[in-house]
Amino acid sequence: MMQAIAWVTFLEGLRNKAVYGITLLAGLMMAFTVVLCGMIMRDVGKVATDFTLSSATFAALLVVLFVGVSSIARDMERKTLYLALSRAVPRWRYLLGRFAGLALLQAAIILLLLGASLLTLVLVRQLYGSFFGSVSFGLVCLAHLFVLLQMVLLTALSVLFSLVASSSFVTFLLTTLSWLIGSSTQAAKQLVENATTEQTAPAIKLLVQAAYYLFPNFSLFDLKTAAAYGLALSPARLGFGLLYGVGYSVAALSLAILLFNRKELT
Amino acid sequence: MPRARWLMPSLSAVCGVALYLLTMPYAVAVRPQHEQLFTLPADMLRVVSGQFKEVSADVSFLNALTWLGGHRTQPATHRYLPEQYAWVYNTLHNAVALDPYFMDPYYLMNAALIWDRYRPAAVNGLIAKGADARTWDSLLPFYAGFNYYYFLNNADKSVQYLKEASNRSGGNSFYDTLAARIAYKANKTELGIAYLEQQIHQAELEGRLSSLEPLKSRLATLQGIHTIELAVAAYRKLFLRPPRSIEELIRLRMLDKMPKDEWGGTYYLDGEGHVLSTKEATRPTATPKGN
Repeated sequence: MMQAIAWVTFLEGLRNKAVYGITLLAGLMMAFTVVLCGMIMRDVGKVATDFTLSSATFAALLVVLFVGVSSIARDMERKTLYLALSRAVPRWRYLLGRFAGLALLQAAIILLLLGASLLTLVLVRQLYGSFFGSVSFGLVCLAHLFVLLQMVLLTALSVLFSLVASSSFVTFLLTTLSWLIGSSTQAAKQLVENATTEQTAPAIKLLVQAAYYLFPNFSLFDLKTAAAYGLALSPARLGFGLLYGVGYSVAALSLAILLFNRKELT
Repeated sequence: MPRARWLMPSLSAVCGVALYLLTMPYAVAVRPQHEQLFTLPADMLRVVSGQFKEVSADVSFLNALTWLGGHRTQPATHRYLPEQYAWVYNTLHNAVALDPYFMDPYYLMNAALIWDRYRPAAVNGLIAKGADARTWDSLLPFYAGFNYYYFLNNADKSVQYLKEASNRSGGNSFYDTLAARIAYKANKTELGIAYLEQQIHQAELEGRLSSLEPLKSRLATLQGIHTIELAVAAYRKLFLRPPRSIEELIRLRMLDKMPKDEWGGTYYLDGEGHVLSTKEATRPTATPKGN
């Protein structure tokens, strides 16, 4: 039954018009990258990699926010959740099925975006071969995998938020804020730690440090720089990032299951 | 009633367009310079950009590039205004703060700021940091080394970065020559000799036989200069003044013979006893081929 829920969620996502719009947007951004590269003096390959990977990240984020977030929240708002639960499906199976379907949808979209990114980079290399630099295609693939990992983590968080929040809009806000905070906490922590007491109040320092440890550190999944310059990445860093993402997702989902089991459905 | 159904929306559309056209001049008015030349501090930009910091760096660089392409210098001075230089500097500084590996901002600041003598120490400090970050690149250490010597009169730092450029380029003879000449001009002959000996050793280890001959020739030149310098030092100790000429040193048997200048000139002494050559190198102004 869990597989069936996952598959239905995946198909629902594929039928969602927002997915087509988002994919088209990413495609246009990548086409724009080829035009933009004509303005760059030397590091053309680096700029192309930045833009393709950023487009992929942005598109995947929009899929989470506009498709993933509404999935469970809408079921609860429209009471369609009862239909699934009335067929003697344990709550945790329903939740994991939904999550697996959304993760599968993300994987399919990231695969599509990876194809578009590689196509763009090959085109840029053909056009500006001598200025392409040392872009690593292997690391570009790995960077897409890490984009998928962070989006799966964000989806897990959105599942948790949809059980805490009263509406899909609040879930959307909480998920967006989590991503924004999680992407900046490392830089923000560095900034406040380097600042003097006159520049930053101790309360602000404490707040930033609390956010740093509470929210997921999404910058760990950002491999753009390494891919753009072909920098060596230690297996330890990659392994740690992978475990961190999996660990945080499992924790968020487990908490969501606990909340869902206790939730009174009226 | 049916007429009102299309009349009212049409009327409101016309009013809207009229209002839009009326306010257009305000909307497209050129913003005052203090608004145009605004940049966020780099630390703040890094926090705000989050995972899109690389794209933010690209955009900062493109901002500076297009600004420089679209604005002319002051007709009287052939320079930009100080606040305009400051904006270009801040924008490029932001670009490299967000992505320290990004070559283009360094390239642009080297071309647009250093040669206009805008804060050469600060700009070259950024270029040197870039050279430290881009460990595979030989062009940035060359820029840093050249600027340290040419604009900042810091021969030690210059030689240090030119050596680094030579190492990274696999022994590009241009960098070697420049480093050796700067070391010589900064009265650091021994440093130059040590550097060339190291380069010859490395070339022999790597089997780069073609680069051995020019390196040995430059080493012989510096060794000849060093021999004269030692004799001058001995003369100065004895007579408490510098010798008038190299011939005087030979006459007093403090020097066996006039060393051969491998660069094709003849050595002579200036009033203070510094060794110079009639084939004096001119300051370089061109970049080397390749990277």
